Amino acid sequence: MYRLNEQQIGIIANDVNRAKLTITRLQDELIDDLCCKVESLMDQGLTFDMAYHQIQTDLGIEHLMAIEEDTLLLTDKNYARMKTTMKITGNISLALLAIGTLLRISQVAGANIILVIGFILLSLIFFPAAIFLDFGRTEEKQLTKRLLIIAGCVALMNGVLFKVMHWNGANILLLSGWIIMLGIFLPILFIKKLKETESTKNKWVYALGIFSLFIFELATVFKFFHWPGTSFLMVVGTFLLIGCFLPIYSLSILKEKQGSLSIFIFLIILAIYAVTFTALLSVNGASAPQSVMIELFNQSLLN
Amino acid sequence: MASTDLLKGMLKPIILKLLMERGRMYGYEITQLVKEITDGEVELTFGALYPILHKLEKEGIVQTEQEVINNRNRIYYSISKKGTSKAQEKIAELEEIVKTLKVFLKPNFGLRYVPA
Repeated sequence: MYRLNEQQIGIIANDVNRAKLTITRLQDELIDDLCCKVESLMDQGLTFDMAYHQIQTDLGIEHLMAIEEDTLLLTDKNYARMKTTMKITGNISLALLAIGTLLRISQVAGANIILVIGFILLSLIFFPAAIFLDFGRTEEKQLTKRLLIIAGCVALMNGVLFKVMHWNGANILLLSGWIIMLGIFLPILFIKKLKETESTKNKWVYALGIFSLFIFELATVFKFFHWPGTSFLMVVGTFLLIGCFLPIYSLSILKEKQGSLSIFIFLIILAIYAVTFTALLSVNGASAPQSVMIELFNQSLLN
Repeated sequence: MASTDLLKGMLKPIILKLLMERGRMYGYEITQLVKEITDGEVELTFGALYPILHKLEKEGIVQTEQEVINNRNRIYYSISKKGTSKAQEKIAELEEIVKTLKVFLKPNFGLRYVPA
């Protein structure tokens, strides 16, 4: 029977490792299984390249991740429970926030209570559930860093709620959230992406994405403190994020990944939601989305 | 080719039966043996196999051993001492199901009277 050499095993292992599976033993099993398949095909007279090409369908990142997901759902009851909770509360909170925002813009009664419920579900149930799921797959040494980022995100989410409801403490919550996001989260994300990405072109795409996000969030901070240059930053940040990063990202990186449609749709919805909602919040008083852009352009012209 | 959906619920006892007969086996070996026994009618994918093997281990029915074979880690599964009775129970359940299903395939479901 044909035996793969170390280099050939390395090629298969690298492909499996791209799926970043967290159950190490499962990862080992999948590598061994795929190696056995290739060896069996080579016994039938195929070359390594031909045999390797034949097993490509088994090597898709999404396929390997789905196997791990199935394993986690079968072996960890908490994981399954949390996953359901996360899906339900995520959808409900998103719907409530969207309805609440629309009612608030239209100055209809009941908007506030819907927004509060939406934010409570989002920050106290959905987000911790999502983090719980992620923690199960995170090494312990990352825990402190992660906890800090979670605290920042929760502070930011509640800061938005407090600000919308005109409650005391909004400024402190928003400021601490922004400091963590701009000073810790985005730089960590930037370094991580640069380390993980092999292609120089993709490194530039990620750098552009993180830079535009940084500018966009910085614009929100500027607006909040009424510092000059807000409109310029907001227009530049929005243009970089929606006009440059998303098209380049969808054309280059997402194209390389399998099953990219769902990620793409999610990104578009998230970007539109973030831009519209943050822009709405950064304008004094409740106003229609169209007026936000008009005001931004007016301010940029005045500046 | 047998439908994977129909087989899904039966995979556990099938895997346990193989492990009872053969002692210890690794994932690829199980898929190949299933293919061989069924003349290629049942193709057990690794996407279906490994989650079940991990579940069986979590339940304590099977145990694992790790060995380095041909420069890579190989995980062998075998029935644990504690899991033997449970495995026998699951296999007996499968036999019962197969027996019951066979009745449906008999003419007139094996019933003597002709329905009105």
